[in-house]
Amino acid sequence: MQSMPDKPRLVEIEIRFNPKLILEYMTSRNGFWRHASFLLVTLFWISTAFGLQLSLPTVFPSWPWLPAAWGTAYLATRRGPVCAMASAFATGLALDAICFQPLGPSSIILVLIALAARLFSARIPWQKFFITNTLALAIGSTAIFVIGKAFFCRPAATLETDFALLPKFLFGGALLSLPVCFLTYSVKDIIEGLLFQSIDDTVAASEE
Amino acid sequence: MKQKSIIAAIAAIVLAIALLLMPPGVTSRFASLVRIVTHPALAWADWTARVSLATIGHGSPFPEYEKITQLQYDLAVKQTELSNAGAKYNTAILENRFLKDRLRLVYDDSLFTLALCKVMKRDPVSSYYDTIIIDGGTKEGLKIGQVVLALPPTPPPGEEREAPSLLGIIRDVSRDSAIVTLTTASDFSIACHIPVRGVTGLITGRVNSSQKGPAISIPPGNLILRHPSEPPADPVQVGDKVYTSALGDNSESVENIYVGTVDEISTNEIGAPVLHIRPAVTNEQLSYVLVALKTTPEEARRKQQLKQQQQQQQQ
Repeated sequence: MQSMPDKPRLVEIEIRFNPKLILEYMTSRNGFWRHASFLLVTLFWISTAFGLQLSLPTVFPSWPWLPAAWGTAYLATRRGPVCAMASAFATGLALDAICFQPLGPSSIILVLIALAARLFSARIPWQKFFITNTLALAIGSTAIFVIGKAFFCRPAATLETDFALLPKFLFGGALLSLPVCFLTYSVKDIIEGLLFQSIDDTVAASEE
Repeated sequence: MKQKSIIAAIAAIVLAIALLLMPPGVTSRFASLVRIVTHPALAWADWTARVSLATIGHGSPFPEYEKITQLQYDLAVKQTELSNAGAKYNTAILENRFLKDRLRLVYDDSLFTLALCKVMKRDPVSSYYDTIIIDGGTKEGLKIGQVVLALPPTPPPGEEREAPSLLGIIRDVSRDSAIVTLTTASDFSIACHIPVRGVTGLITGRVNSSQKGPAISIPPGNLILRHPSEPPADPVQVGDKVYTSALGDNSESVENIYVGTVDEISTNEIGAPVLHIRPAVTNEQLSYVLVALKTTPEEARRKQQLKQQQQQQQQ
């Protein structure tokens, strides 16, 4: 009999309901808990980013707060590519919707921030170079956000006024971003470490 | 890793561009939905910001801060009542002056009531001096085009309170919030008049780059009144007061709201006068604003009839 290498082979798969496995998934720390808390914490970081972006200026009007950009850069480096871009898109969408702006421009700017942060972190990972990485993310995200907002989200403004507002937000924002990012990224990393570090990882680390 | 990131980013950007190209009706509904969904997040952020202010700004415990906020709100309500009375008083004075000048004309007074709204948000980067978002919406009777007024500052003891002055115009309204275009925005415009000189015209914001006033780092410059109606026999002088006019195409506009004073008079290239108007209020720090809700003549008449009936019943 001749063999037929080009013909696809059929594989028979039997799906069975396995109560023990499901129970293990629902109760183990690496199962449902991990996935649910991961989603909730990500949603919380996104909400905090756009919420504070709009609330802080009313309380401290003279400070150039840009938590949406800083929060997006954080999520971009600590999450997978799809989650990073989705959270950047959602943050931008919320910013535009709440500010009665056309939907889209803020999302594009924040997605660009997320992409830049991911490409940078691929070369200099935050796990090894926390200080350098945080420094670059803080300044880079501030610069992209301010330039993007100034040039693409102000249809009635002139180039002159755009250039006039850049120094305050570029230099002021960059200066403010350094302490804020170091503090918030550290706190967030500690919280995520406590919530998401699996028991297996802890045991492996202690054995080493 | 890199490829995945780039593909995900391109997909997100394409989605954002698709949102931009969608018909306005669809996006406005979608935006309303997003605003509803994000309401809890905003409340949480507001609370965080207020706690930060209480901790850093005031150095006092939170309940004390809450009391102060409540007192400020009560004070603002009282100010509104006073402003209402002041606005009516000023309207009467202006009407009297106008009738003295033009005896044969009937002056149609636009009646309005003031609604107090809290300033919710100001975008720090793109539009700090252009727009504000207030907590009143269609629920409170707010409509596009309505005039927004600034609360007058507390006068020194013994002096009369000033009338509320123009702060902006409502640009868009949702159920719970509205966005206001401030007088310092470059795309602001409203019909106005100078009653003592009989001049009318259209006030605009900082129109082009030749005008002073970067948008954010330095507060914007004066308003501009180009091509006033007729060169009057009694020419406009520096210091003349400018008020809103209902002659424009904005049906919700209210007459005789104080805009500011003439600060400088110049001429353009064809010799027409250009008036530079200094706004009466600065909008750097705003907590509460007033919205002038215009009442139709029928409603005003009905209210008057009701009042008369009540007075007759009391007698």
